[in-house]
Amino acid sequence: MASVKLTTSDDKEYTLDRELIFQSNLIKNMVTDLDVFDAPIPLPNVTSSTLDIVIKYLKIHKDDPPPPDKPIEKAVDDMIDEDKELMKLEFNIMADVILAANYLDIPGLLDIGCRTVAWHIKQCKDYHEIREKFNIPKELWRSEEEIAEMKKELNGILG
Amino acid sequence: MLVWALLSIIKGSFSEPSNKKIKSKKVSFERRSVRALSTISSTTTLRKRKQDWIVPPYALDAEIFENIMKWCSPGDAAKLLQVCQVWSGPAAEALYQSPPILYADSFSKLAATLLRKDVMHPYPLLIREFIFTGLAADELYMGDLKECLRLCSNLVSFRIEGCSHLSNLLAQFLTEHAPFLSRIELPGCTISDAFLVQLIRGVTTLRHIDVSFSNVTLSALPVLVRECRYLETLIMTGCRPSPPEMVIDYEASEYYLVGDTLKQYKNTTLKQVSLSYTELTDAMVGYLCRHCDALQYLILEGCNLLTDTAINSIAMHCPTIIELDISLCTQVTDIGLQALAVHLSVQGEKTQRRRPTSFGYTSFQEYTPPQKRYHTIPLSKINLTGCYYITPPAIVLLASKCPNLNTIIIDGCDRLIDWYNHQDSPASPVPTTAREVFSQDSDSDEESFVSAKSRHSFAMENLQSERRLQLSRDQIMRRKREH
Repeated sequence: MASVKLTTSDDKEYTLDRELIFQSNLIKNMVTDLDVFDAPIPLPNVTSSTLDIVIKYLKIHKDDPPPPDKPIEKAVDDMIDEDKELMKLEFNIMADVILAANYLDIPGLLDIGCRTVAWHIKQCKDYHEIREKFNIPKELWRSEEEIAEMKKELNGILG
Repeated sequence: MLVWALLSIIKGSFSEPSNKKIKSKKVSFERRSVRALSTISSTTTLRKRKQDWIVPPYALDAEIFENIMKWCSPGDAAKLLQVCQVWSGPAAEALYQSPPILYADSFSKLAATLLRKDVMHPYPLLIREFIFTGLAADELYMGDLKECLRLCSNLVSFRIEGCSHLSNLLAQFLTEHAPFLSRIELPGCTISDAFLVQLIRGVTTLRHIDVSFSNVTLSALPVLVRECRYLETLIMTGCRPSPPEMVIDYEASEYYLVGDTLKQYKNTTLKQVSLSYTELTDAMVGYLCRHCDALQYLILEGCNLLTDTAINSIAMHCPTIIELDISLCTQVTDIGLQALAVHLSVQGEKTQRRRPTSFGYTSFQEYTPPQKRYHTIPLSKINLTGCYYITPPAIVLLASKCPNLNTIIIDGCDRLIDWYNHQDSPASPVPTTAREVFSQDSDSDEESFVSAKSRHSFAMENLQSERRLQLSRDQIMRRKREH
């Protein structure tokens, strides 16, 4: 059996090559440990659009060598160009992709997703911009008094 | 029909990822699925509440947030603290994990924040690491430090560089208030042996100790080796010699204990030891090696009182050694390296051969093919800078016995320079298949690397001449047993 079947939350079935999907440690462990026959693996919190993006990433990185034991220090936006193109998404979709990468345990995708988010955070000058960029609703905003209080506390560490 | 039913049962079992029927050895898989379930519940409830909210990025769980935070600077973390309630918790954690204490007044400001009562986040409990360098270390007040340590009970790592007024009370503070402390670094501080002994007796969870260039003397070494149960790394670079009034007999009666009694004294956790630039003697090295048989990285740079006896003890008692640095130990000669090569390979054979049969005797099938024997020697790097008595045959022997050896540093070894120059000439005894680069410039400080491939061809050439010796020795052994 050279292929693995996956079902997303909106009941769409995908059939993928084992080599491709084995970049996901979760699927790899499931299939090798449990040794089940052809039943499709359900992914209840991954939608089909998210899975499309994940599959694009897997195809780009199909032939990558396994990562070295000691992680190399990289800059925030030190990614290959195709990954940068892939990550030019709206924030809600990107967050879905990151959650899917976390669930499926694909360390490379998780890494570039987090780095992209960190890069966007760096681009924003202060918290107003972050709120706008990430579309955080007003109910969760901190009040002005709390922010003033926190600024005083931050003085201890950044002052 | 049956097959379809079976398939649907399996499908049913799969739809609950945290089902106990799945006996997966990988715990991480179960934990992840449980976490994924919690993420699902949070996203679904948020979605139900308001349809027009954009649910992620709040549904990002703590681990992902930590991953993002490690790419952000403290300034970014400060911005994130102010954004929203959900993000400020993880942002505070990332910011306070190792608070930057750079200037003379940084610590007093930090202490003021930590000691405040009603703050937004539990800052002291978030602190995992304290690092005091430069001016901050000079201006450190013990009283402030004590107050902060009392509150920061999750402290894991502690470092002060070059503080000239550390008192022994610090050991007591750490014992009382830091139950998880595993790493302590006090280079250049004025601490004494008494401080160190009190510290290791009080804080029993220490794994990494660095007391370089302090007033600690070498007489603290036996105490450290004997009493620290979890210690993995010990750095005592530049420590002072034992005071003349303390006479420790390193060859004492414990050396003659056998079997189980000696095992009680053996330290099996110490893996990395650095005793560079100390007045270490052969007896001390012997003591260290006899008592620590799991040593992997041994750095003895500049210990110029060491002779071949020390190398012999290392070779005899530490079969797991991976990296050995004996640069500037000028009294080391070929004999030391030969001892290293021979003893390590013998140790390797011993571990291969111990296969008892039902009668308790080792089995007769003791002949293991030569390739198998060599795999157990893990030595991969040796630094012989400045050991000018070393000659080529010793290096050749060492290389042939240790297949994992891929780095030999020989800066300043004068007798090896000429050998390199004549390497390509037809009259040289060195096999010309080896294409190796040795550093011949005694002034250079760069490392020289020997490729692993040429190492193996080197070893194999020598092996062929040795194999004849091996076979005849085994034939002799067999004949002896038969009689």
